[in-house]
Amino acid sequence: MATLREWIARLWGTLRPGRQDGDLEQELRLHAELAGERGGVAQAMEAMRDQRGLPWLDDFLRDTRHAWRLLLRNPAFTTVAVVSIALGIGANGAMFSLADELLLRPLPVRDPGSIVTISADTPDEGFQGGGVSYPNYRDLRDSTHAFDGLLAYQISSVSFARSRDAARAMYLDMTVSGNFFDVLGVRLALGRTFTHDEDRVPGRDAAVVLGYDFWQTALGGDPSIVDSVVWINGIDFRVVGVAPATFNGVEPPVRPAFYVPVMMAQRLGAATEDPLETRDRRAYGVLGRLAPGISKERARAELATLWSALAAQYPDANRSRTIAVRTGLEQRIDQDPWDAVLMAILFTLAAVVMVIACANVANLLLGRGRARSREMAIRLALGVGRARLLRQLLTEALLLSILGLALGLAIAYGGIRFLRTIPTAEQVVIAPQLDHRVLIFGALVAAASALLFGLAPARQSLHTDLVPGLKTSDAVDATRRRLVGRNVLVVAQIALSMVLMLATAMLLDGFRKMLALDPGFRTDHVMVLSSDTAPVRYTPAQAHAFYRDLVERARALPGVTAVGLTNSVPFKVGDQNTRGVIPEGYQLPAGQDYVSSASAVVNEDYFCAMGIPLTRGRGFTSADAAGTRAVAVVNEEFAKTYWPGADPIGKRVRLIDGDKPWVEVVGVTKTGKYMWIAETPKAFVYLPFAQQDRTRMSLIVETHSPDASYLATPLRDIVRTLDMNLPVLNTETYAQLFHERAIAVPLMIMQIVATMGLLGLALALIGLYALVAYSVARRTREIGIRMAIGAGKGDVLRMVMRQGLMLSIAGIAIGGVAGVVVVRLLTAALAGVGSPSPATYVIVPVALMCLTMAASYVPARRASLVDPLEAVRYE
Amino acid sequence: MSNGEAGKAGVLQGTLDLMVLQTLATLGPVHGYAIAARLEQVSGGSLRLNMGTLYPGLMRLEQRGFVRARWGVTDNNRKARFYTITPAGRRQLAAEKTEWDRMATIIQSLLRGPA
Repeated sequence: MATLREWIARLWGTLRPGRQDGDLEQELRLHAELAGERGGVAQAMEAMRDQRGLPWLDDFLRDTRHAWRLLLRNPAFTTVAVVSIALGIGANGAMFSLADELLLRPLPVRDPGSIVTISADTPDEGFQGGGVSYPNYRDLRDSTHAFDGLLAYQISSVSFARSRDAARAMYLDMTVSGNFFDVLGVRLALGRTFTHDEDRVPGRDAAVVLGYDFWQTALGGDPSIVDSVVWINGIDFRVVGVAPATFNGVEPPVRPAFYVPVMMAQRLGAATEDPLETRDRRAYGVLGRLAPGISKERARAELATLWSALAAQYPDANRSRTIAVRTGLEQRIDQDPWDAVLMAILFTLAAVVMVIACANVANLLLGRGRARSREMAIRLALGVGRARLLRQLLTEALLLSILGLALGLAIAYGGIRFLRTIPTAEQVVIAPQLDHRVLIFGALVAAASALLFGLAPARQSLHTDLVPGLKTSDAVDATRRRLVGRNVLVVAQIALSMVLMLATAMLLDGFRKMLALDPGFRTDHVMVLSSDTAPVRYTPAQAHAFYRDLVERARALPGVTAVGLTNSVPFKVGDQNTRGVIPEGYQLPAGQDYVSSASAVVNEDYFCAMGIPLTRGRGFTSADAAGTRAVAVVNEEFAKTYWPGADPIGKRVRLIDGDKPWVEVVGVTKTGKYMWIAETPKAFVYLPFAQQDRTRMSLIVETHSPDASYLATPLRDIVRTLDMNLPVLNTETYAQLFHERAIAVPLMIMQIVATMGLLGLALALIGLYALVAYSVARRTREIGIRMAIGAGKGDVLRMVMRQGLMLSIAGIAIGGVAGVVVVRLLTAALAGVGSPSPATYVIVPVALMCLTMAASYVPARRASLVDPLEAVRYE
Repeated sequence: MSNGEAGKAGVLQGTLDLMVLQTLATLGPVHGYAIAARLEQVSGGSLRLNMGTLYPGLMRLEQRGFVRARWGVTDNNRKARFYTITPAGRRQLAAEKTEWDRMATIIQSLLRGPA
């Protein structure tokens, strides 16, 4: 207690001392007088001051004030240093916020660390993260002890209307088990979660919990929505609650509009079989909350046991699948490794920029070290410990860091605003923010960089030989050591910059080529519109009739040249399908029953409307109908992979599911891009719509005019005329869709990469310039003497630039070697981007050489203009 | 100089508080020099606290709430700072006395006890 009092008193003693120095002195002087002593007052004062305040805090505050004044006195140095750090922190902060948003941030639920993902892996096919069927989930849930709760969810697309008479629109929703919110520990903003009762009887309890964003934007944030009735897929649902603003589902960045109980799944869907009883429909994502004290591995072991019991009991459904337990982060990375790799690369670029920035500041500090060697020598001679001086120098470095952090956060904010413009699909929201996590990250980077650039120069300053340091300002040994250090730093900066530029050039080149890639179909002149007959429960015959009508009426619209139908619009998120196939005569790899191919169901005019060329045989015609021979069209990649060297026409393919087991190939299309502009060629098989049943199809309407947007309203009207209850998904021109998916994202990545490259380059050039300028200043006397004995301006210029040249060559050489290695790594990591053209390896070093020469030229020129008389006198 | 260190007069660690508090308890409000003088007198000249030990020690006692200090005037009309023991200080003194006795007994029996 007394110790606390003392501590607080001493804290005040540092900040606002109650007893001033004069006070203390008076007391001591009286004692000295009475005791007859002469000296000792000063030392006693020192002891009293130490007791009055907290010495370490005193020192720290004093150091900070001193550092602050020092920074103000050298505005050029301070500006360059602070801006360098700020650029580094800004770049890293922005990258971190993106990584956080996409990969790192845990779910906004109670104790997210104990939430894990449970999925079914198919190790034979290398397929991970597959869903679990509801019956399997239920059995696991009821038998497990390793988990406090298991929940299941599925994302689906449903038609929603505020009321029976209001307009319908499609939204993504989550069908969830009744314990969804409880297991996650999410407290609703309004109303209540699903009750245990609502999770028992299929089809009975039509309750819905709205998502917060959806409630705000689509329903006006009206609190009276609770207990009201809304219309979903033809069923009246009672709104029982609203989720909190921070919760956006469990599969970010997809944000479901609302949540319905899984018991309603069959009534909502058009499937004839009950999804809750179909053991081989692996449609559900499963999350679990680990019971206290249970590790992921133990949980996995328990589930594995339960799972093998289920596999034994139901062999058909659970064959060759194993159960896996992963943390959220692992799951996200596994699901989209491309994202993770890209993030890692961008982050590394930002880190390199930070290192170059730190090297800059270290360089500047070293340069200043020479000027302060006298100050350091004096203080050391006075008995101030080296540790104390080290602390002071580190405090200065820390202050620089803090200033850099403040400016850096502002830069990061700008970067984040730019990143928010990433185009995404509906209900997928990528919104990085400058939140406390970014702040903490920025502070850590600032602290680490303070150590990085502060420590070396500080130690350099302290290894000062006292006597020479006190005498002249040109202490040879120390300076030489310092200069070597600075040279090494600049060479390192140039090398890093070289690597950065090579990587940047490669990425830019790659993405540019990517943008210029031909996707294999036309991207303009086309309007896309989608609809879905599932919500209105059309029979397959009705669905076919509807789409046939739609196509005919669309064809009658002015300017329309062709109308295609497909269930898989190229490049559209979520539209891509794969199916299991067995090509005739193909030797399946060991352990596999089939191979997977991308596929789509299309009508006769699809190839024409999308501009997909047929290279052999024919496309589908109206002759390919429900009763006739089952046909298919494959692409060249399919033919090449499964029937190399043979004519694919006439060959047959066995389909794993669906009711038409064998199809005969009647045509071959040119291989195009189907999902991602830089994908490796994929096998594709098309099936005719007339011979397959689908509920959800997209219209591909080709017109004469390059801009097809005028078709939006007429097409929508047609659908509404045919059936008012049918939903119309967002209509957009294909040009728009393609731009968003194929162009905008790579373009944005290019911009980010280019920015990083430029930042790194700028920082390295500043570093080189500063170093050459410094050595010119140091050699002013020498230059003056040389000029006095006959050296011309040109000679001086050459002499100074030689230094810059040597450093540049060294840096470029080292950077070149490292760069080649890095480029090779990048090429391996980003398969679609390809390796850079050989010209890159010539252009980049030459460009860097020119720039570094320019950076050395400026101070060199100044040196050559020096008046020799002045220079000789320069001290 | 922290209070754990021995002063020039070879004061045992931690006993400064005890000596000062006892002196204040005995003498009442006095200034720093008086305390030093008293201790020198009582110890027969062998205990001579220097300023650098005494005054930081007094400040520390004040910060811990065991003494209170006021500016006052000496008999010779000199301005001096007078220290008084507080109730908390008296309690601390009692505690330190007990602890001292305890330690002394232990050491005593250690040094003089059966071999």
